[in-house]
Amino acid sequence: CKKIDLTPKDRYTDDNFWQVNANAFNALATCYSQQISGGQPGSSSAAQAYFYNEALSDNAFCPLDVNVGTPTQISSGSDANFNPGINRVKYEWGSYYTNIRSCNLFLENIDKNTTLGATLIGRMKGEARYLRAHALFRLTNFFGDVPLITKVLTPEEAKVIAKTPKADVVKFILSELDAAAAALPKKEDLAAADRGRVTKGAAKAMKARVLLYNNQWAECAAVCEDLMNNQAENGTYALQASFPDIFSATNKYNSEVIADLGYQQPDRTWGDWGDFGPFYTGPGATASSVSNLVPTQDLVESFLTLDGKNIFEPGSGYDENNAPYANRDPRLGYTVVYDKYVWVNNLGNSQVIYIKPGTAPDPTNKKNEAGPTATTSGYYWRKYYDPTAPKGTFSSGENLIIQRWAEVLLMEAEAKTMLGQMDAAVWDKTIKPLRVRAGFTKNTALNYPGNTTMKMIDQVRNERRCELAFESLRYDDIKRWKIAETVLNHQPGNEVRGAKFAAGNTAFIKLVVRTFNPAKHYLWPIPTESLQTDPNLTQNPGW
Amino acid sequence: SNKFSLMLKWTIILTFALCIKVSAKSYSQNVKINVDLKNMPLREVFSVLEKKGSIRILFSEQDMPDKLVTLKADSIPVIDVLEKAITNLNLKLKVYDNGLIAVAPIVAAAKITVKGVVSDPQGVLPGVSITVKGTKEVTISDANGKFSINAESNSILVFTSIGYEPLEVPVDGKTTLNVTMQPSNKNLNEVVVIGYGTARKVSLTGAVDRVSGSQAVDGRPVTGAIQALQGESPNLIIQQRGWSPSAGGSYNINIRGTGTTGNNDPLIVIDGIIGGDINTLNPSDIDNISVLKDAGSAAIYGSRSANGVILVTTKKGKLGTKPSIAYNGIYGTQVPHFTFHPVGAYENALDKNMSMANSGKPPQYTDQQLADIKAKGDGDWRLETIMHNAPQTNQNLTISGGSPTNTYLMSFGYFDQRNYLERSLINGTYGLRRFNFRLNQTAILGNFSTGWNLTYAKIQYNEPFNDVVGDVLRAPLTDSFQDAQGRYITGFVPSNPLDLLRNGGFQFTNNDEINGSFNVAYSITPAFKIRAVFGGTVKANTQLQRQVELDYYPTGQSNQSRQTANYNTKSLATNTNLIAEYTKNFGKHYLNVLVGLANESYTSEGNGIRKSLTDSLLGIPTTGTIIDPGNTNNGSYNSLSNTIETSLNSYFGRVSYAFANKYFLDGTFRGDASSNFPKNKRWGFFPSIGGSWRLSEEEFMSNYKEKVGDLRVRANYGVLGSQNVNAYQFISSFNTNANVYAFNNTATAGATRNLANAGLTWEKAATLDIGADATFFNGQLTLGADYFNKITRDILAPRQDVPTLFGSGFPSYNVSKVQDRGWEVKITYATRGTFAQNFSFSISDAKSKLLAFSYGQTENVFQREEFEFVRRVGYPITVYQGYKTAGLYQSQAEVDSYPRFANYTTGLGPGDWKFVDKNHDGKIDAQDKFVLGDPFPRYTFGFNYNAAYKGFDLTIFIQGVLKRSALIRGELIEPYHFSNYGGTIYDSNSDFWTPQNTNAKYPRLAENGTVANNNDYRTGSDMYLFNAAYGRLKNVQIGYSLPVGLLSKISVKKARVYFTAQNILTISPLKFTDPEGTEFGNNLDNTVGANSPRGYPVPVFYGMGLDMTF
Repeated sequence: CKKIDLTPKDRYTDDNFWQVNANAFNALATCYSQQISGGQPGSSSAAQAYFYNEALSDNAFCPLDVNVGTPTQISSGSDANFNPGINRVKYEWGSYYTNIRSCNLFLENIDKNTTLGATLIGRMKGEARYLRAHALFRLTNFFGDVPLITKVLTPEEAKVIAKTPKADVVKFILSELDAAAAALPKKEDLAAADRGRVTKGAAKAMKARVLLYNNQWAECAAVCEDLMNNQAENGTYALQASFPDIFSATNKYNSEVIADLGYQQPDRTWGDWGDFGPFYTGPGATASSVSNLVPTQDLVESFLTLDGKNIFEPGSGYDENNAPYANRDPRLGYTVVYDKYVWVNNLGNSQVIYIKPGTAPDPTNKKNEAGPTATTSGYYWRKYYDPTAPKGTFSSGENLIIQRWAEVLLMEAEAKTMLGQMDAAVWDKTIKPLRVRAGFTKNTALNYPGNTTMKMIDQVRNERRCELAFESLRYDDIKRWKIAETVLNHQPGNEVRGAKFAAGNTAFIKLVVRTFNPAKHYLWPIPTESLQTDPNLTQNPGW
Repeated sequence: SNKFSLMLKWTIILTFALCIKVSAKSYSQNVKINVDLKNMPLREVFSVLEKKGSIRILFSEQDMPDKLVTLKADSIPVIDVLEKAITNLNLKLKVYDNGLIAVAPIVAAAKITVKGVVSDPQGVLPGVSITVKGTKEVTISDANGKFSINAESNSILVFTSIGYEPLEVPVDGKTTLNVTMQPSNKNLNEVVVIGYGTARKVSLTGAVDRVSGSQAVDGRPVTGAIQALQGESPNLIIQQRGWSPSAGGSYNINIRGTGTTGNNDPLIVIDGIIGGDINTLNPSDIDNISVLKDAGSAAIYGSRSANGVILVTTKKGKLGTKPSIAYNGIYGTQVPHFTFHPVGAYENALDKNMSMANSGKPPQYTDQQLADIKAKGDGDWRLETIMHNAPQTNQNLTISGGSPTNTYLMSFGYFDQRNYLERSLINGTYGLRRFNFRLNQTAILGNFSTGWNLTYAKIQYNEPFNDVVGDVLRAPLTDSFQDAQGRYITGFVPSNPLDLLRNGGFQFTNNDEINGSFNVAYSITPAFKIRAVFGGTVKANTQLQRQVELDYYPTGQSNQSRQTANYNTKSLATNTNLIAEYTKNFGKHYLNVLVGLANESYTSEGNGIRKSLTDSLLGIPTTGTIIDPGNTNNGSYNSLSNTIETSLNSYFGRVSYAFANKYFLDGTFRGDASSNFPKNKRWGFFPSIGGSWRLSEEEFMSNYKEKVGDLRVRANYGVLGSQNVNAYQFISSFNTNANVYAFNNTATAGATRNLANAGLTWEKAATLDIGADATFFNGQLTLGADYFNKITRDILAPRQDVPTLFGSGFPSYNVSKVQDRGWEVKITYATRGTFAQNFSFSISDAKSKLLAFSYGQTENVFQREEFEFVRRVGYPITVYQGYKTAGLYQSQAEVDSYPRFANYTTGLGPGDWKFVDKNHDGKIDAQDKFVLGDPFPRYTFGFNYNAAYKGFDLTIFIQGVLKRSALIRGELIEPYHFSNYGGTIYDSNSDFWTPQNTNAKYPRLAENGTVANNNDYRTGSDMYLFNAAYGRLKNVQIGYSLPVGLLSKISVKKARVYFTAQNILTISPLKFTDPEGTEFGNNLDNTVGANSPRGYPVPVFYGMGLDMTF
């Protein structure tokens, strides 16, 4: 007979968990791992949420969106598919509260540890407070007013909690980021083994983003300038010389990175890229087999000419029928793969990617031609391609960047523009270095154009779109700029476009209809299950 | 455990109390005397003993031998002294109650040959077993009922035959004996196995159904015991979710429907050992199965009986029988039944262009391409190319027999079911093999009786590494698997299923199981027995996975990570029972008391290792090979994080009382302490009480009994339990998960806290059962009927009443309450004689209703793809919810005037769905959803027909479900499923709207992302709802048994050859997929996904069989 008092042998319990130093670090690592998630029911694939959110915006389209967070059904705006009952809404909401609970659990218990020492515990608390603030921030972006939870709730407390006005939540987030910045070291003061943890600079950069999203332009600019001017205190950040180097798996924690999601080959990887890239990239080279997230024509058109001109501006030299991708912002080629793109594969060999239907020289190359089984839009992604993944796989150890130095420059530019303070001096410190690094050489592209404010803000926003495409920021941007109904509404006859590969390459591909109703879609609905179980929660307007 | 030892003490005290003999009748024969006699004649000895012992001895003077007796006794009962005196004198004693003792000579009778004919009221009776009572002499009546046997002239012949009353006839010196046997009153004498014992069926107060192994298994090419049981007992509901050969089978099995939102698996008990694996059991070894359906019969299994109990008894040898060798074998072919087909390549291309045109898009195929497709014809990218007829065989050999004190049975079984799929070139054909060996022995040693069972089972299951069926279905028929040069090509689908099957690797499962059980019983007195049963099962399960990298033409690869993995699990289950049983008849009173103690312990541990980038030919580590990290479910793991231990201590008992074979009362109880619950919630007590009344035995019913037959009513009520939770949920703990994040390009572990429920305890099901059994027409027709009402409360499930903003999942809580009500009827009708027929029909219903959901929360909607599954108080456990279609728009005017989803201001047209505006508010929104249906089977039925005529026999078995709804999605319903996932239309969805086909079943074609497609296909509506009722001809057998007379010349007792066919006909409104398929497993948790069937086609089996007994 076996004893009846059986206890698990592979788990710590409340009594002994926190005393073990490794456990304290593991509990904090869990908080980090939950920073971005919610894409798919039951899954916490941060990479999936990170990338597929692009399909909520005008940058991308996802043809088969089951199991990847249903961005297509949400952007359809159909009441049948985007409503308070759908899983995506429930998991988006729930996953950040899971993160918040982990952070609260850590903050309430870490003092039980008596061996780590006050200094280290202070730093770790700063990390947890940053992460909790970040989760709250993401919640406010999706849902507006949300319950502000700052302790480990009991089920009974959870069932009666009410929403806190967004302004108050934002106030709390800002004060927490201040506290975190005070508790955290600058990145140079971290031991090498701790690279990837949030730092003083990260807390301040996140604060700048929160201020930017809430239109607090002067405060935002002040934080950006603090980061730009007090690098000795906040950490030294600089643009990478080469654009693609920013994302390289062999160039992690580079000078441009402020905060990122940590991965490592082979133990902690993401593999979504198999659904993003071309299907044939040369003999023996790794190629995608599904094309489930494709860049839109709209994104491609947003990249300027080498003269710094919008392609539709008179004199831009742009011809949509003849070499439309030539003479363009070099970041276009670092971001998307277009017809006749010269691809350098994971074996180091070059291969022309033929996407225009009927142009491939042989059956092998034909695999990349636009169509229902290849790219549906006529484009593939390039950014975040990891040639160092093990041969034959897309199992990548690249970190996914949450904030990088370019964004600080763009925030400064945007805030200053909104304040009416954009001038050549600001331009030369923000947009110009980004364009230089991108590879623009002509003065018309590099120098301050001296336009009116309205046009200037469009330029700054466009710069942000091109620089940060595929980095999971566009959906937030079009909402906070209140341009979502303009860029997301695609009614029948005016579908989201792909490349001009339809009807014998005479018309743009029509991808999908979309509806964005500004009366309700700026905020996601509070999920039904939470409304049903917590009578003090109220639904967002329009839902 | 204090409580447990207290129980132990009480049981020991009770045992001793029952041991003390209270009967001390004092006859004079027991008077103790002293004698010392030397060489005294026998007559004088008798008179000495008569005097000293106050007895009277009767004897006949001339029968007494002239022998002198020497005798010495010191305080010995006089009867024993007398016994000693006549030792070796060929004399015997007979003692009468009044103290008289008769002494007479032992007379040897002459041996004679007795011949005769056995018949029943309708004719001669072959196959009757005739034994000379008290000897090993035995024979069997031949085809004409004739027999011949050697017996002493004063002996008694015993005639036995299944279905007849045993008959004892004294020979009385006659050499010819013609006997007529009477069909047995089955209800009176049929014995059924019940918990920890057996009972006459007539005395049952609970709902116990007996299924004979021979009826369920003989001649049927069943893949396992569960498949054999489908349709055999009313409300034993078995759904075969999938048909592909597999180690465990894909079944939902429940008794009386779904009574809980948790697991509905019944408890399996094999030869008294709880928790046996019915999947590894050789179906041919089954003697009979008892299905315990209600509280009265199941409560003695306490904490795990809430879903009913299936008791399996295996075959044993018979005492005093010659060795018998039985062989039975079936060999045949499984033919895949393809229920849907893609339309031709050219038609498909035309339709695709129509879909594009309907969506305002340019055509997919130019006229030139269309012409090319037409000229080229259809390719072979279809299921028919990769699936072939596959053989299946069942082979069994059984050797059994027994001496007067020992029995033995040895059986060997071999089962081999090949998969339809194209064979692997690196690991042979895909399919399942099962090897079974069994040794059952019993022995009687004085007052001890013992039994040993030893079984060994080996399961070998070879399956493809990649599941390819989905990819075969997606592509249009323009594609072929290979080009003219034999290269494996990729077309619509980026991989090649044929290459994957042949060369892409495999998963090979190789499981071994050894099960041993030992029982010993000791009769302290004829009425009082104690027994101990000990059983142990060791399982060693292994799986090897190989993934081989493939390169296709012109592009594409599969299995680039080249994994080779080994997974091992080892488990030990032990089961110890100590039981005391007292049985006594007092005049018309009958009493049976049973008490017992039990422990069950289980330990399983597993480890696994997965290596990637192994050698592409051999799978061995090579340059670049890495070990995949991982947690318990994949990758590599150690046994430390994959060990499960559980333990259960129990006491139990039953009191059965009967009066005059008319009134019966049963009471049972069980107390269980489970390691799955916290100390103060650990013990559960599960009682039941039941009674039955044989009305037909009453005086006032004598007329009824004579003219109609038996009638009995019964009822019982009790509380059953379920402890179906994962271990350790009452302890709050931390999981350490490897590799959740990385700092400094180094992976780090994470830790998450598991919430505990310190109040976790049993799920309890209170069950009322009312039943009646009746016979008609002299027992030829029997009828059994039951009504039940079961309320299960404290159902174990994670809480659903807390908003997700709580931030953590929940362990199991005792949350829900479900009512499960229904009825079952079983009718059998048998005719005897030269054309014997047997009909058996059963039908049953079980309907669940959610009474309480989760701490006051009354509903939960879980979205699955386009569908909603709803748990709502007042409805069955889970129901489908969605919109109702109201026909297709036939004109733009109709589109403009009809309510619709608010954002579809443009884009809808003729051929799109209208939806019912439930609340008449002029628009379609979430308020217009209906409950669409119940996905669980209702009105399940089984029909069995057997007929025999002059050696020929026929069996027909039909099984089905009369009511069930199924929501089915996927490429078989939506043309060009999601436009880029599905590339074809099937005959199942080709009836779509066009201006020429306005009375269509499905809407017009439209590409993914259009308003029309969103409205028609992305909306969960009753378009996806199907009636999944069905009736299936499960088995037909036509057999011929060779005449016994002919066979006896070659020492063969029985030989039967037969044709057998399985699943040859299915009638259902749902035609394009198997109507048995379901998205729900037996554990009705809400993690289930929507049903997109693309399964393994139902096998239609045709084969031949041979049964021989030597």
